[in-house]
Formats: sequence, C-alpha cells, structure tokens
Amino acid sequence: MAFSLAKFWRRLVNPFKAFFQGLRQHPLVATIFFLTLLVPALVVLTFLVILPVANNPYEAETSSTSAAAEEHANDTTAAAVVADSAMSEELEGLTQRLLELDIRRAYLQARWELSKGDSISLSINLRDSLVSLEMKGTPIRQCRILRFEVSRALERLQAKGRLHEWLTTPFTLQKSDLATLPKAPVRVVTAPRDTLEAQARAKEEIPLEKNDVHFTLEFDRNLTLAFEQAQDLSFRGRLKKWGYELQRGYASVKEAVHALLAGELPQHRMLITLELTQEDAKAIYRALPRKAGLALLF
Amino acid sequence: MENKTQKTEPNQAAQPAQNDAPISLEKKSAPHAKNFTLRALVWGTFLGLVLMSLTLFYAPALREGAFALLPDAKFVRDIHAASVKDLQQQLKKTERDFNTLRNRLDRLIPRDYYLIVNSSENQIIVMKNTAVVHKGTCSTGSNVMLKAALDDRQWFFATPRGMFRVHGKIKNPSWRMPDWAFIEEGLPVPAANSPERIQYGVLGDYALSFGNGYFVHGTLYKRTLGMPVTHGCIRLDDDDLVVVYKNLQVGSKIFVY
Repeated sequence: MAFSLAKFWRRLVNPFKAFFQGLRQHPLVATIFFLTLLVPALVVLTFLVILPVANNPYEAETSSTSAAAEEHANDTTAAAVVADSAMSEELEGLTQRLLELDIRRAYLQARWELSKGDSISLSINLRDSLVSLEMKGTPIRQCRILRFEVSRALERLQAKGRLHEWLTTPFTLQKSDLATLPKAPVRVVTAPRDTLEAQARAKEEIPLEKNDVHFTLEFDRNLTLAFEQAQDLSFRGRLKKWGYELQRGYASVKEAVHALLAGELPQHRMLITLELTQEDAKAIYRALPRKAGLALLF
Repeated sequence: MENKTQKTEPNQAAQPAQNDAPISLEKKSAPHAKNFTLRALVWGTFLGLVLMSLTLFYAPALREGAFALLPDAKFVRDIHAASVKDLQQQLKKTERDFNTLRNRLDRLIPRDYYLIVNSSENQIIVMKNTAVVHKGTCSTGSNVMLKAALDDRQWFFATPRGMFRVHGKIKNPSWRMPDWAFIEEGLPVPAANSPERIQYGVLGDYALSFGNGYFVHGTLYKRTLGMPVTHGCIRLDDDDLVVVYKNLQVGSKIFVY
C-alpha cells in the first residue's frame, strides 16, 4: 500500500517538478509564466482592494457622508480643531463624553425619524446586544444578539470621531433577496373541483416550514448586515449555506465589475455580522418590508 | 502482476528523465522548446485566471485585511472647543437634545393595552405600556394563493402586517361565508343573500374587527393553533380570546409583524 502510494505521489509530482526545473533553466519562459500567473491577480488586487481602501470616502479628512451629516458638521465646526495630542486631560474627557452622547443622540434621532413612517423598522443596539423590530416607535419584538462582528472600516470611523455623522440619518434597505429562506412562503393551490376532492385534501398534513436562517440585508451608505442563526446546521443546511455564501460572493463580484465598467472604484461595504437564534432571525427577515429603515447604535 | 510491477519500475525511474525533457532543452530540437514555452504560457494563464478569480471573490475580505494595515485612524472631528467652557456648553446642549428625543420616543409606546401578533411564529402578546400582560398562541394567514378550478378568480390568504386599531367588538359573532369558502370546499357558490352563507358559532364567543374584513376571533379548529392556516384573520384559543377581548377597547392598537 505504502509502495503504491509513493508511486502515485511520484507520478503526480514528477511532471510539476520537471516543469519547474525547466523554468529554472529558461528565465525568459519563467518570466512569461510568472507574468501570466500574477498580473491578472495584481490588477484585480489593485482595483478591487488597494485603491478602494486608499480612496474610501469614510477615510477622507473632511465630512461628506450625507446631507444630515453636513448639517450637523456645520453645527459643530468652528475655528479650532482639537487634535489628540494638544488636548488637555479635561478637554479630552469632555470630548469623549460629547462623542459618546452624540452617537447615542444620533441613534435616537434615527429612531425618531423612523417612527414617523408607517412601516416596520429595525433598530440595532450593538452596545446592549439588542435588535428590535419597531413600528411607530413601539418595540414589537426585541431579540438578543448572541455574537457580532463589525467591519474594521466602521471601527476606524469611530476612532476618527465621525461615527455619529454616519448614524444620524436612518439607513434604508436596498436589497434583501440573498437568503436561505423565502421572504414570503407563498403556496399556490388550485381549488378542488368537488367535495370528494376537497375531503381527500383535508386529510393531507399541513406542510411545516423547515429552513435554516441566514440572510443578508444591504442598506444604503455601504452598510451590509449579515444575519446568521446560532443553531447548528444539518448536512443539508451546510450545503445550502455554502450555496448562499457562493451567491453572496458572486453578488459582490458582480457589483465590483459593474462599478469598474462604469469607470468607478468599487466601494467597500461595511459588514456587520449578527448571530441570533433561528426564531428571532426568521421573524426579523419575514417582518421587514422591502424598503425598511434601520437605526444603528455602534 | 508482480512481474508487471517490476517491469514498470525501470520505466518509472526513466519517467522523470522524460518529464525532465526541458532541462536538456538546449540539446533538443526547436519544437521541444516551443512546446515548453507554450505549456508555460497555458499553465500561467490558467493558474493566473484561477488566482484572479479567487482575488475577485475574496476582495471584500482582502479589503477588510487591508484596513488593518492602514496607519491608526487619526481623530479628525472638528469640535468647537476654544475652551473647556465652550465644550461644557456643547455637552449640555447635546444632553438636552438627547433627553428630549428619549422622552419623545418613550411617549410613542401606547399607555393602554395593545396586542402584538407575530405571524411568523403564530404567537400573540398582550402588552400594557412596556409590561407583558399575557402571552398566547394564535393562527395567522396561510400565505396560500387559491385559484378557482372553474374560472380565473384567485385569492391570497395572508394576515396584513402593520399597525391597526380595533374598529369594533362583537359578542357571539356569526360568519358570512364569502365565495372562496365554498370554492375551497368544492361546493357550489350560493347567491349573495342566501342564508346558506351565514354560520353561527364558528368564530368563538368574541370577535374584534381591525379593518378590511379582518378579525381577531376564536376557532373550532384548536388543533391548528400555532400554525399558519387562516384566510387572513387571527384565530385565538378561548382563554386568550377572553383576555384580548376584555383588555382591548375600540381604538386599541394591534401590531402585526
């Protein structure tokens, strides 16, 4: 057995060995080989990774996130720019309190704006690990977040002291079709022709829905929320989730290619991954309307 | 078999020499060198495309990684802070705004009893302000699209979502069966004013209407409570129905999600 394995291994490896030995002897061919190997990936790396990170609008030194943000900036901007180093301890303490309060006020402001609408909205408080569905300002379901991960870009925005600008205006849901469960489990049934057929159907079991719950919600201002169920997955569930991950990857590739074709750099989406119980995640996904609003506290 | 293995051994030893052909490329003919270059080009392109696809697919993750490589974020927010006094004033103003918003939001939660219906899990909660008064099981819309077998008519049975108000409270309600109730049973549809359409006792002891012909009512089919089986109404068990009927008044809010 060991012998045949070694033989198999040699058969597998030898052609590659020979190929690379050949490359070592022919620098020109080696150059062509490595160029064709690396150039496409480097081009993609440059246009999809390096340049979008370097030109991330949220990395810019001046505020330009939204109209509300500008308005807020006008409110607070004045002559003196207080830099970290120059701040006295007292000033720094006050500034930190102000920043904290500004972020909390931005969250309440967004919830207040959402309460003026008629539809169900989502409010996520990462400080207290809570997700709430709200309608007209009344929380109708509160769910505990069991685990969450936040994009580094968002952490940087916070470190810059500009998070409140991004949070003041409610986010609006743009896309919600990436999921492992249908948004509305609609069944189409043709009515029976007579009472006999109706009686036969009455004996049939009511189909119970069994779906693992993973879904992605894409909001404006480059925010993406990925909801995942905390419960373990079955083998079929894992396969389905794998398909969902592939779809998610494909969607991001499509978005990037579209941006490049339009002569723009793809923008980095700030991803927040939230882990909830299956029941909570399902209730949230089913409840949210197509253009749902979101208030976020980070 | 044994012989065959032994026989192939020398060949096996010779195999690398054959695969090593490019090593002695100089001594070999030009077509060999051309072949090797072509092979390198094909393999390079193929592997390059694979690498490019992987980079494309994992670009968001790579970007996340790239953010970690950036220098620490610099605090850039402009703050009107010529002095501690200015900052304190600003803080007071923000605190005032914050408290105003919090009070406004608190006032949005109904002071009286209201009903929350969870149509994805078929559960109800009776609330008073922020306190839970009662929890129970219900049945909501089946999400079935019923198509008539004999004509083009169709109906969609779903419980509407949103905020509603109790329009009316009825004791011992009767049900006026619509056309779909007959079609669903494979029965001929009677005339609009036919007494055949009126059914007593099927909606339980009480019903609360919340608009557009939708009701919160009782049921004879207790087995199906907790399942999405209704035609849009909200069915409750008798005990839950009593709590809802007693506590909710005309004008009380019903939230369905």
